[in-house]
Amino acid sequence: MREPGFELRRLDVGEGSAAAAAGAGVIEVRGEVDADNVADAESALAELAAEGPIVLDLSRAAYFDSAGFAMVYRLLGRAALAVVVSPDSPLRTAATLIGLPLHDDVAAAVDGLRSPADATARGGAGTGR
Amino acid sequence: VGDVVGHGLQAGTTMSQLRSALATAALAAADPAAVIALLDRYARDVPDACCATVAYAVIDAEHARVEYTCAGHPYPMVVRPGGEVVWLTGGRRPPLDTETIPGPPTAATDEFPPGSLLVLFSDGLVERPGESLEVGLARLAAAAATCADLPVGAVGDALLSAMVGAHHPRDDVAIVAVRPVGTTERTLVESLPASLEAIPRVRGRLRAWLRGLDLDEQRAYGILLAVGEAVNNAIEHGSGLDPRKTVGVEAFAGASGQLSVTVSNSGRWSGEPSDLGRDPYRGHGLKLMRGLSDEVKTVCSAIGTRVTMRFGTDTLGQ
Repeated sequence: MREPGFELRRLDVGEGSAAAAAGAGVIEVRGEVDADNVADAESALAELAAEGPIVLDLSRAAYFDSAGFAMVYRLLGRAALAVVVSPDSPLRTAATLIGLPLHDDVAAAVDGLRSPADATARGGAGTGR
Repeated sequence: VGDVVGHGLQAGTTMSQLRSALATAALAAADPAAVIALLDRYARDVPDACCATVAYAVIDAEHARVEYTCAGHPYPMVVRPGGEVVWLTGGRRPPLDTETIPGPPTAATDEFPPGSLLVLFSDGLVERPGESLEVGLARLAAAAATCADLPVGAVGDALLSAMVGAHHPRDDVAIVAVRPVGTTERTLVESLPASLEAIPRVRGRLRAWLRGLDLDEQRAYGILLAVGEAVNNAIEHGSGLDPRKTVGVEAFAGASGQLSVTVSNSGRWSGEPSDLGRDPYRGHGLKLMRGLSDEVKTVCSAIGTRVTMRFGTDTLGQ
Protein backbone atom coordinates (compact mmCIF):
# COMPACT_ATOMS: atom_id res chain seq x y z
CA MET A 1 0.00 0.00 0.00
CA ARG A 2 2.87 2.32 0.81
CA GLU A 3 4.49 4.46 -1.83
CA PRO A 4 7.97 3.23 -2.67
CA GLY A 5 10.57 4.89 -0.50
CA PHE A 6 14.10 5.77 -1.51
CA GLU A 7 17.00 3.86 -3.01
CA LEU A 8 20.73 4.60 -2.62
CA ARG A 9 22.74 3.57 -5.68
CA ARG A 10 26.50 3.36 -5.61
CA LEU A 11 27.64 4.56 -9.02
CA ASP A 12 30.66 3.15 -10.79
CA VAL A 13 33.20 6.00 -10.65
CA GLY A 14 35.48 4.49 -13.31
CA GLU A 15 39.15 3.71 -13.01
CA GLY A 16 41.39 6.73 -13.22
CA SER A 17 38.52 9.15 -12.64
CA ALA A 18 38.88 12.09 -10.29
CA ALA A 19 36.50 10.44 -7.85
CA ALA A 20 38.57 7.25 -7.84
CA ALA A 21 41.75 9.26 -7.35
CA ALA A 22 40.15 11.03 -4.40
CA GLY A 23 39.00 7.70 -2.96
CA ALA A 24 35.40 8.93 -3.03
CA GLY A 25 32.25 6.89 -3.52
CA VAL A 26 29.42 8.37 -5.57
CA ILE A 27 25.95 7.71 -4.17
CA GLU A 28 22.85 8.56 -6.17
CA VAL A 29 19.54 9.01 -4.34
CA ARG A 30 16.45 7.74 -6.18
CA GLY A 31 12.86 7.75 -5.03
CA GLU A 32 11.42 9.85 -2.22
CA VAL A 33 12.97 11.09 1.02
CA ASP A 34 10.63 12.86 3.44
CA ALA A 35 9.92 13.30 7.15
CA ASP A 36 8.51 9.77 7.23
CA ASN A 37 11.61 7.86 6.07
CA VAL A 38 14.44 10.37 6.60
CA ALA A 39 15.76 8.49 9.65
CA ASP A 40 16.32 5.37 7.49
CA ALA A 41 18.08 7.43 4.85
CA GLU A 42 20.27 9.11 7.44
CA SER A 43 21.50 5.89 9.03
CA ALA A 44 22.18 4.29 5.64
CA LEU A 45 24.12 7.33 4.44
CA ALA A 46 26.03 7.70 7.71
CA GLU A 47 27.19 4.10 7.30
CA LEU A 48 28.39 4.80 3.76
CA ALA A 49 30.09 8.01 4.84
CA ALA A 50 31.97 6.12 7.55
CA GLU A 51 33.75 4.10 4.82
CA GLY A 52 35.22 7.19 3.16
CA PRO A 53 34.38 10.47 1.47
CA ILE A 54 31.20 10.47 -0.60
CA VAL A 55 29.62 12.49 -3.34
CA LEU A 56 25.85 12.53 -2.84
CA ASP A 57 23.92 13.07 -6.06
CA LEU A 58 20.34 14.21 -5.39
CA SER A 59 19.58 15.25 -8.97
CA ARG A 60 17.31 12.34 -9.80
CA ALA A 61 15.43 11.97 -6.52
CA ALA A 62 11.67 12.04 -7.12
CA TYR A 63 11.02 13.96 -3.91
CA PHE A 64 13.33 15.46 -1.30
CA ASP A 65 11.87 17.74 1.35
CA SER A 66 13.21 19.95 4.15
CA ALA A 67 13.59 16.92 6.43
CA GLY A 68 15.92 15.45 3.79
CA PHE A 69 17.86 18.70 3.46
CA ALA A 70 18.21 18.90 7.26
CA MET A 71 19.68 15.40 7.16
CA VAL A 72 22.21 16.47 4.49
CA TYR A 73 23.24 19.41 6.68
CA ARG A 74 23.77 17.09 9.63
CA LEU A 75 25.91 14.76 7.50
CA LEU A 76 27.90 17.70 6.12
CA GLY A 77 28.75 18.62 9.69
CA ARG A 78 30.35 15.29 10.52
CA ALA A 79 31.48 13.56 7.31
CA ALA A 80 33.47 14.22 4.15
CA LEU A 81 30.55 14.86 1.85
CA ALA A 82 29.83 16.88 -1.26
CA VAL A 83 26.38 17.30 -2.78
CA VAL A 84 25.37 17.31 -6.45
CA VAL A 85 22.10 18.82 -7.68
CA SER A 86 22.32 19.31 -11.44
CA PRO A 87 21.02 22.59 -12.92
CA ASP A 88 18.17 20.78 -14.72
CA SER A 89 17.04 18.80 -11.66
CA PRO A 90 13.54 19.57 -10.31
CA LEU A 91 15.22 19.80 -6.87
CA ARG A 92 17.53 22.61 -7.93
CA THR A 93 15.22 25.51 -7.01
CA ALA A 94 14.51 24.10 -3.55
CA ALA A 95 18.16 23.31 -2.81
CA THR A 96 19.14 26.81 -3.89
CA LEU A 97 16.37 28.44 -1.81
CA ILE A 98 17.67 26.68 1.27
CA GLY A 99 21.27 27.61 0.46
CA LEU A 100 22.59 24.07 0.46
CA PRO A 101 26.22 24.00 -0.67
CA LEU A 102 25.90 22.14 -3.96
CA HIS A 103 27.71 21.28 -7.18
CA ASP A 104 26.51 21.00 -10.74
CA ASP A 105 28.06 17.60 -11.40
CA VAL A 106 30.17 14.85 -9.86
CA ALA A 107 33.50 16.21 -11.12
CA ALA A 108 32.86 19.58 -9.47
CA ALA A 109 31.79 17.80 -6.28
CA VAL A 110 35.04 15.82 -6.18
CA ASP A 111 36.89 19.13 -6.40
CA GLY A 112 34.66 20.32 -3.58
CA LEU A 113 35.69 17.35 -1.45
CA ARG A 114 39.31 18.46 -1.82
CA SER A 115 38.55 22.03 -0.82
CA PRO A 116 35.35 22.15 1.24
CA ALA A 117 35.59 25.87 1.92
CA ASP A 118 35.28 26.51 -1.78
CA ALA A 119 32.11 24.46 -2.07
CA THR A 120 30.41 26.37 0.69
CA ALA A 121 31.19 29.62 -1.04
CA ARG A 122 29.75 28.34 -4.32
CA GLY A 123 26.64 26.97 -2.66
CA GLY A 124 25.63 30.35 -1.32
CA ALA A 125 24.64 31.62 2.06
CA GLY A 126 23.36 28.44 3.65
CA THR A 127 25.61 26.99 6.26
CA GLY A 128 27.81 29.75 7.59
CA ARG A 129 25.16 31.91 9.21
CA VAL B 1 -28.08 21.85 12.28
CA GLY B 2 -30.99 22.64 14.57
CA ASP B 3 -32.77 25.61 16.04
CA VAL B 4 -34.98 25.80 19.13
CA VAL B 5 -37.54 28.48 19.88
CA GLY B 6 -36.46 31.24 22.27
CA HIS B 7 -33.16 32.45 23.65
CA GLY B 8 -31.06 32.22 26.79
CA LEU B 9 -30.49 29.50 29.31
CA GLN B 10 -33.78 27.63 28.79
CA ALA B 11 -33.31 27.45 25.03
CA GLY B 12 -29.71 26.37 25.53
CA THR B 13 -30.77 23.60 27.89
CA THR B 14 -33.42 22.38 25.47
CA MET B 15 -30.93 22.43 22.59
CA SER B 16 -28.43 20.49 24.66
CA GLN B 17 -30.99 17.76 25.37
CA LEU B 18 -32.03 17.55 21.73
CA ARG B 19 -28.42 17.38 20.57
CA SER B 20 -27.65 14.47 22.87
CA ALA B 21 -30.80 12.66 21.80
CA LEU B 22 -30.00 13.22 18.13
CA ALA B 23 -26.47 11.91 18.59
CA THR B 24 -27.88 8.73 20.15
CA ALA B 25 -30.64 8.35 17.57
CA ALA B 26 -28.04 8.70 14.81
CA LEU B 27 -26.32 5.59 16.18
CA ALA B 28 -29.59 3.68 16.39
CA ALA B 29 -30.89 4.19 12.86
CA ALA B 30 -29.41 4.66 9.40
CA ASP B 31 -32.32 6.29 7.60
CA PRO B 32 -32.36 10.05 8.32
CA ALA B 33 -36.16 10.08 8.48
CA ALA B 34 -36.11 7.32 11.11
CA VAL B 35 -33.49 9.24 13.13
CA ILE B 36 -35.61 12.39 13.14
CA ALA B 37 -38.75 10.36 13.95
CA LEU B 38 -36.95 9.02 17.05
CA LEU B 39 -35.85 12.53 17.99
CA ASP B 40 -39.41 13.75 17.55
CA ARG B 41 -40.75 11.10 19.93
CA TYR B 42 -38.15 12.13 22.51
CA ALA B 43 -38.86 15.85 22.00
CA ARG B 44 -42.46 15.36 23.07
CA ASP B 45 -41.23 14.90 26.65
CA VAL B 46 -38.75 17.78 26.62
CA PRO B 47 -39.96 21.15 27.95
CA ASP B 48 -39.91 23.91 25.33
CA ALA B 49 -38.95 21.55 22.49
CA CYS B 50 -42.11 22.42 20.61
CA CYS B 51 -41.46 23.75 17.12
CA ALA B 52 -37.71 23.14 17.18
CA THR B 53 -36.42 22.66 13.64
CA VAL B 54 -33.60 20.50 12.35
CA ALA B 55 -31.86 19.70 9.07
CA TYR B 56 -30.15 16.33 9.24
CA ALA B 57 -27.94 14.96 6.49
CA VAL B 58 -25.89 11.78 6.16
CA ILE B 59 -23.06 11.77 3.65
CA ASP B 60 -22.53 8.53 1.77
CA ALA B 61 -18.99 9.00 0.52
CA GLU B 62 -18.88 5.64 -1.24
CA HIS B 63 -21.83 6.46 -3.47
CA ALA B 64 -21.13 10.20 -3.67
CA ARG B 65 -24.52 11.24 -2.38
CA VAL B 66 -26.21 12.91 0.56
CA GLU B 67 -29.33 11.57 2.25
CA TYR B 68 -31.27 14.11 4.29
CA THR B 69 -34.45 15.20 5.98
CA CYS B 70 -35.65 18.58 7.18
CA ALA B 71 -38.04 19.12 10.07
CA GLY B 72 -39.32 22.64 9.35
CA HIS B 73 -35.74 23.85 8.83
CA PRO B 74 -34.40 25.98 5.94
CA TYR B 75 -33.21 23.89 2.99
CA PRO B 76 -29.63 22.65 3.01
CA MET B 77 -27.78 23.60 -0.14
CA VAL B 78 -25.21 21.99 -2.39
CA VAL B 79 -22.83 24.10 -4.46
CA ARG B 80 -21.97 21.91 -7.43
CA PRO B 81 -18.53 21.95 -9.06
CA GLY B 82 -18.46 25.17 -11.06
CA GLY B 83 -20.73 27.10 -8.71
CA GLU B 84 -24.32 26.03 -9.52
CA VAL B 85 -26.37 26.18 -6.31
CA VAL B 86 -28.98 23.49 -5.67
CA TRP B 87 -31.43 23.65 -2.75
CA LEU B 88 -32.19 20.31 -1.13
CA THR B 89 -35.96 20.75 -1.00
CA GLY B 90 -36.98 17.11 -0.47
CA GLY B 91 -37.37 15.16 2.76
CA ARG B 92 -39.67 17.74 4.37
CA ARG B 93 -41.57 17.10 7.58
CA PRO B 94 -43.04 19.41 10.23
CA PRO B 95 -40.94 20.77 13.12
CA LEU B 96 -40.41 18.61 16.23
CA ASP B 97 -43.14 18.10 18.81
CA THR B 98 -45.91 19.58 16.66
CA GLU B 99 -47.79 16.71 14.98
CA THR B 100 -50.33 14.69 16.85
CA ILE B 101 -50.08 11.88 14.31
CA PRO B 102 -46.72 11.78 12.53
CA GLY B 103 -46.90 11.03 8.80
CA PRO B 104 -44.81 8.34 7.17
CA PRO B 105 -41.07 9.03 7.41
CA THR B 106 -39.59 10.78 4.42
CA ALA B 107 -35.96 11.22 3.45
CA ALA B 108 -34.54 12.42 0.19
CA THR B 109 -31.22 11.90 -1.56
CA ASP B 110 -29.18 14.04 -3.89
CA GLU B 111 -25.82 13.77 -5.59
CA PHE B 112 -22.76 14.88 -3.64
CA PRO B 113 -19.77 14.19 -5.88
CA PRO B 114 -16.18 15.37 -5.30
CA GLY B 115 -15.86 19.08 -6.06
CA SER B 116 -19.21 19.88 -4.37
CA LEU B 117 -19.86 21.80 -1.19
CA LEU B 118 -22.69 21.08 1.26
CA VAL B 119 -23.92 23.94 3.46
CA LEU B 120 -26.36 23.67 6.37
CA PHE B 121 -27.34 26.78 8.25
CA SER B 122 -29.80 28.30 10.69
CA ASP B 123 -32.31 30.93 9.57
CA GLY B 124 -30.43 33.67 11.43
CA LEU B 125 -28.14 33.71 8.42
CA VAL B 126 -30.86 34.71 5.94
CA GLU B 127 -33.40 36.65 7.98
CA ARG B 128 -33.40 40.42 7.89
CA PRO B 129 -36.11 42.61 9.42
CA GLY B 130 -38.79 43.61 6.90
CA GLU B 131 -37.50 41.28 4.20
CA SER B 132 -39.11 38.12 2.85
CA LEU B 133 -37.35 34.81 3.33
CA GLU B 134 -37.18 34.31 -0.47
CA VAL B 135 -35.06 37.42 -0.85
CA GLY B 136 -32.71 36.22 1.86
CA LEU B 137 -32.41 32.76 0.32
CA ALA B 138 -31.66 34.26 -3.10
CA ARG B 139 -28.94 36.40 -1.56
CA LEU B 140 -27.49 33.33 0.15
CA ALA B 141 -27.50 31.36 -3.11
CA ALA B 142 -25.59 34.16 -4.83
CA ALA B 143 -23.06 34.29 -1.99
CA ALA B 144 -22.66 30.51 -1.93
CA ALA B 145 -21.95 30.40 -5.68
CA THR B 146 -18.78 32.39 -5.03
CA CYS B 147 -17.62 29.77 -2.49
CA ALA B 148 -17.14 26.97 -5.05
CA ASP B 149 -13.35 27.43 -4.99
CA LEU B 150 -12.94 28.30 -1.31
CA PRO B 151 -11.37 25.98 1.25
CA VAL B 152 -14.14 24.64 3.42
CA GLY B 153 -12.82 26.41 6.53
CA ALA B 154 -13.24 29.78 4.83
CA VAL B 155 -16.84 29.22 3.73
CA GLY B 156 -18.43 30.18 7.05
CA ASP B 157 -16.66 33.55 7.20
CA ALA B 158 -17.38 34.27 3.53
CA LEU B 159 -21.11 33.58 3.91
CA LEU B 160 -21.34 35.46 7.17
CA SER B 161 -19.73 38.59 5.78
CA ALA B 162 -21.84 38.45 2.58
CA MET B 163 -25.09 37.80 4.43
CA VAL B 164 -24.78 39.61 7.72
CA GLY B 165 -22.00 42.09 7.07
CA ALA B 166 -22.58 45.21 9.10
CA HIS B 167 -26.15 44.19 10.01
CA HIS B 168 -26.23 42.78 13.49
CA PRO B 169 -28.13 39.49 13.14
CA ARG B 170 -31.36 39.24 15.10
CA ASP B 171 -30.83 35.59 15.77
CA ASP B 172 -27.98 33.15 16.35
CA VAL B 173 -26.22 32.02 13.21
CA ALA B 174 -24.92 28.48 12.71
CA ILE B 175 -23.19 27.33 9.52
CA VAL B 176 -21.82 23.90 8.70
CA ALA B 177 -19.86 23.46 5.47
CA VAL B 178 -18.64 20.08 4.21
CA ARG B 179 -16.58 19.02 1.21
CA PRO B 180 -16.24 15.37 0.18
CA VAL B 181 -12.80 13.85 -0.19
CA GLY B 182 -11.95 13.13 -3.81
CA THR B 183 -10.71 14.71 -7.00
CA THR B 184 -12.09 16.31 -10.12
CA GLU B 185 -10.08 17.71 -12.98
CA ARG B 186 -9.94 21.09 -11.20
CA THR B 187 -10.22 20.23 -7.50
CA LEU B 188 -8.55 17.91 -5.03
CA VAL B 189 -9.70 17.30 -1.47
CA GLU B 190 -7.82 14.96 0.85
CA SER B 191 -8.02 14.21 4.54
CA LEU B 192 -5.26 12.37 6.37
CA PRO B 193 -4.48 11.36 9.94
CA ALA B 194 -1.80 13.54 11.54
CA SER B 195 0.86 10.87 11.16
CA LEU B 196 4.05 10.98 9.11
CA GLU B 197 3.21 7.58 7.61
CA ALA B 198 0.19 9.08 5.86
CA ILE B 199 2.26 11.61 3.92
CA PRO B 200 3.45 9.47 0.96
CA ARG B 201 -0.09 8.37 0.03
CA VAL B 202 -1.41 11.94 -0.09
CA ARG B 203 1.66 13.08 -2.00
CA GLY B 204 1.01 10.34 -4.57
CA ARG B 205 -2.55 11.59 -5.10
CA LEU B 206 -1.46 15.21 -5.36
CA ARG B 207 1.24 14.26 -7.86
CA ALA B 208 -1.27 12.38 -10.02
CA TRP B 209 -3.70 15.32 -9.91
CA LEU B 210 -0.97 17.84 -10.80
CA ARG B 211 0.03 15.63 -13.73
CA GLY B 212 -3.50 16.04 -15.09
CA LEU B 213 -3.06 19.83 -15.10
CA ASP B 214 -0.23 19.54 -17.59
CA LEU B 215 2.09 21.94 -15.76
CA ASP B 216 5.75 22.55 -16.42
CA GLU B 217 7.72 19.83 -14.58
CA GLN B 218 9.65 22.27 -12.37
CA ARG B 219 6.46 24.10 -11.39
CA ALA B 220 4.63 20.88 -10.61
CA TYR B 221 7.51 19.70 -8.41
CA GLY B 222 7.62 23.06 -6.63
CA ILE B 223 3.89 22.83 -5.83
CA LEU B 224 4.27 19.23 -4.66
CA LEU B 225 7.13 20.19 -2.35
CA ALA B 226 5.54 23.38 -0.98
CA VAL B 227 2.33 21.48 -0.15
CA GLY B 228 4.38 18.64 1.35
CA GLU B 229 6.12 21.12 3.66
CA ALA B 230 2.78 22.59 4.73
CA VAL B 231 1.45 19.09 5.43
CA ASN B 232 4.60 18.27 7.46
CA ASN B 233 4.02 21.40 9.57
CA ALA B 234 0.31 20.69 10.04
CA ILE B 235 1.11 17.18 11.25
CA GLU B 236 4.10 17.99 13.46
CA HIS B 237 3.32 21.46 14.79
CA GLY B 238 -0.42 21.88 14.21
CA SER B 239 -1.41 18.43 15.43
CA GLY B 240 1.50 17.34 17.63
CA LEU B 241 1.80 14.07 15.66
CA ASP B 242 -1.51 12.89 17.14
CA PRO B 243 -2.97 10.43 14.58
CA ARG B 244 -6.49 10.91 15.97
CA LYS B 245 -6.38 14.43 14.56
CA THR B 246 -6.83 15.06 10.87
CA VAL B 247 -5.14 17.31 8.35
CA GLY B 248 -7.02 18.55 5.29
CA VAL B 249 -5.64 19.37 1.86
CA GLU B 250 -7.80 21.28 -0.64
CA ALA B 251 -6.50 22.33 -4.04
CA PHE B 252 -8.32 24.43 -6.63
CA ALA B 253 -7.16 25.11 -10.16
CA GLY B 254 -8.86 28.31 -11.27
CA ALA B 255 -9.62 29.23 -14.86
CA SER B 256 -7.50 32.37 -14.46
CA GLY B 257 -4.33 30.27 -14.24
CA GLN B 258 -4.21 30.56 -10.46
CA LEU B 259 -3.80 27.45 -8.43
CA SER B 260 -4.45 27.62 -4.70
CA VAL B 261 -3.81 24.94 -2.11
CA THR B 262 -4.98 25.07 1.50
CA VAL B 263 -3.64 22.82 4.24
CA SER B 264 -5.66 22.88 7.43
CA ASN B 265 -5.50 21.34 10.88
CA SER B 266 -7.59 21.61 14.02
CA GLY B 267 -4.77 22.81 16.29
CA ARG B 268 -3.44 26.33 16.50
CA TRP B 269 0.05 27.44 15.59
CA SER B 270 1.34 30.67 14.16
CA GLY B 271 2.97 29.47 10.96
CA GLU B 272 6.13 31.30 12.02
CA PRO B 273 9.60 29.84 12.53
CA SER B 274 9.44 30.80 16.22
CA ASP B 275 6.67 28.22 16.59
CA LEU B 276 8.71 25.39 15.13
CA GLY B 277 10.70 24.15 18.10
CA ARG B 278 14.45 24.04 18.45
CA ASP B 279 15.65 22.10 15.43
CA PRO B 280 17.94 24.59 13.64
CA TYR B 281 16.73 23.42 10.21
CA ARG B 282 12.97 23.47 10.74
CA GLY B 283 12.62 26.97 9.32
CA HIS B 284 13.60 25.49 5.96
CA GLY B 285 10.11 24.15 5.35
CA LEU B 286 8.63 27.65 5.61
CA LYS B 287 11.42 29.02 3.44
CA LEU B 288 10.52 26.51 0.75
CA MET B 289 6.79 27.26 1.01
CA ARG B 290 7.45 30.99 0.58
CA GLY B 291 10.06 30.56 -2.12
CA LEU B 292 8.11 28.09 -4.24
CA SER B 293 4.72 29.86 -4.09
CA ASP B 294 3.61 33.37 -4.95
CA GLU B 295 1.86 33.89 -1.62
CA VAL B 296 1.52 32.11 1.73
CA LYS B 297 -1.31 33.14 4.00
CA THR B 298 -1.92 31.69 7.46
CA VAL B 299 -5.28 32.06 9.20
CA CYS B 300 -5.74 30.98 12.83
CA SER B 301 -9.29 30.71 14.12
CA ALA B 302 -11.36 28.89 16.69
CA ILE B 303 -11.62 25.89 14.36
CA GLY B 304 -7.88 25.61 13.76
CA THR B 305 -5.14 26.82 11.46
CA ARG B 306 -5.19 26.91 7.69
CA VAL B 307 -2.33 27.81 5.40
CA THR B 308 -3.19 28.83 1.83
CA MET B 309 -0.55 29.01 -0.88
CA ARG B 310 -1.13 30.51 -4.31
CA PHE B 311 0.74 29.57 -7.44
CA GLY B 312 0.55 31.36 -10.76
CA THR B 313 0.88 29.10 -13.79
CA ASP B 314 1.36 29.75 -17.46
CA THR B 315 -0.74 26.90 -18.69
CA LEU B 316 -3.78 26.47 -16.47
CA GLY B 317 -5.93 29.19 -17.95
CA GLN B 318 -5.52 28.03 -21.52
